[in-house]
Amino acid sequence: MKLEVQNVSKIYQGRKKSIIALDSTSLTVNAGEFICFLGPSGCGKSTLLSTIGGLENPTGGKVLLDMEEVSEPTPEIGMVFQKYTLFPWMTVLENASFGKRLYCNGAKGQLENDRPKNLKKRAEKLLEMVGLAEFKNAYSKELSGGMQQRVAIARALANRPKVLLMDEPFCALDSQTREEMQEMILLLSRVEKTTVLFVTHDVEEAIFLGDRVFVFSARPGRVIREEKIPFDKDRKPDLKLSSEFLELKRSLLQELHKCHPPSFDREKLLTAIEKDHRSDS
Amino acid sequence: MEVNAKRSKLALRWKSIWRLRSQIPWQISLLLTCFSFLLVLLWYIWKSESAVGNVSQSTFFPTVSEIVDGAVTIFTDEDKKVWTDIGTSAMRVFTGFLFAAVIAIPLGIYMGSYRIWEAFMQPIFEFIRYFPVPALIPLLVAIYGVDEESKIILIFLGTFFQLILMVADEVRRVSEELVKVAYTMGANSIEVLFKVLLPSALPGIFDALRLCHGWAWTYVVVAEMIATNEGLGIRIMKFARFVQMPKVMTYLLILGMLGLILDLLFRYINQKLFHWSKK
Repeated sequence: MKLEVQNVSKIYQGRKKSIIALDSTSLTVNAGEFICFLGPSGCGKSTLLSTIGGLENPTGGKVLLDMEEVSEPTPEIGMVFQKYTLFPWMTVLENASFGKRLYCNGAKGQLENDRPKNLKKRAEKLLEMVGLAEFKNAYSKELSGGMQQRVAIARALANRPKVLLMDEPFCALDSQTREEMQEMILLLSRVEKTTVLFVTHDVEEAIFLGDRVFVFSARPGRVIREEKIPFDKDRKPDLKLSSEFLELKRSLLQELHKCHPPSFDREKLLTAIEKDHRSDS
Repeated sequence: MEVNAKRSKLALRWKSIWRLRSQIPWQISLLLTCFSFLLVLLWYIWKSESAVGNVSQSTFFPTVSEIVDGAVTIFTDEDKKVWTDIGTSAMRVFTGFLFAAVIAIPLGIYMGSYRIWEAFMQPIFEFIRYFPVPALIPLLVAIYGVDEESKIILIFLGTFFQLILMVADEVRRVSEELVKVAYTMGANSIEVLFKVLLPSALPGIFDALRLCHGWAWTYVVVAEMIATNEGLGIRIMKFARFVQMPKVMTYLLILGMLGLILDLLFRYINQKLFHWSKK
């Protein structure tokens, strides 16, 4: 498996002026890698992810998966979204077996020896791995946000995608749940030998998960730094407290601060506070 | 002291009832519902009793006991006219509405899913929707004659254009991410349409049916202005012509009750079928 992004750019044509959402970007991802796109909102990282997934067409350049151009969504590339996307009329198990069911019925029959029976087994196995085996008959309205995202991950992985795209999937979760999910997705990606592209705006999350982190800047969105993370695959939450980790975090945060001045008028607020002080005394 | 504490607790609850969208106990909700019916009843009793002796008014405001008398005559009538009236009108409503639903649901789904269909159908339907249906009667009679056909088509026209637009809106309301997720798992457009958009929009579509169904009962009364001898609408008009107001009132009550019962039925079925829905 090899994923190549070649000079992909995205320009949104407005009536008066056009906005460069993503400046020409190239990168190559190898099998089994965990890649993080890090940056503030509006920096084009999600646009790049949708383009890789075939959900959006680039203005320029192309995406190649194993030398074949990706121009529309394909079951080879799975996706997990920030919003909860379980199908509410299906049980957890039905949700988890959604992809392969379509895949088997569908025309692209690469996995034809995976009969529906195996498919259910596979979905159940994945639910077990994300710790939701006993909830397989529940509906999404009975699940917490974290559980819903776990089912969404199981559903995407059950489809056996070569690449899994994740668009800020833990963003809406509380920080404890998020840490748990981070460790889980690391282990899952190793078990399933899936390549993962993970979008986040959280520096810590990016360093903890990524083998490589691409740092984006906004307006125009472009990659300003590629950081190879020196830790091995076996990572535990304690890692976040090590000095090496913190050093990396500091360096990346400084990079982000440097290219993103605050969007509010700091001077104005400071003078307002000062004035207040003066009138008080 | 304790009394004070109790009082402040009550005050707190009273305040919380007035918070937007806050829940209230079902007993209170039921009580309020009954109260509203009672208010209307009281207003009517007052209006009719004060009209007694005033000929021009008392004719149009029969007292409650007169209405009860009227109802008794209607329900003990030997020809059982009232039941045939209900049956005939219900049949008209059912047929017209069924046609409307059967055509509007698939078309609405396509209209809400494909921009091509939307551009082709939506504006013209929005335009036709504003035609006053009763004004179409002469046209309908000219084309379809005075038989059942024209009545059913009138009900169809009255509900179809409303329904199709509501169905399309329900389909559009389905979250974009659900569609995307299905696409990334290998679904083609037809599969997304039938396995994602349709089931996701169904509870909303069912609710649209409930609302439009109410209009069908309004239009059946209009439709029965076209030559007919049976039906709730024509009977009301006949009674009114002979100023038999107690009977008119009875029929109005029957219409109200029918609507209420069917509405509750729709809600009940909705809950049973779509228990997974959050509403």
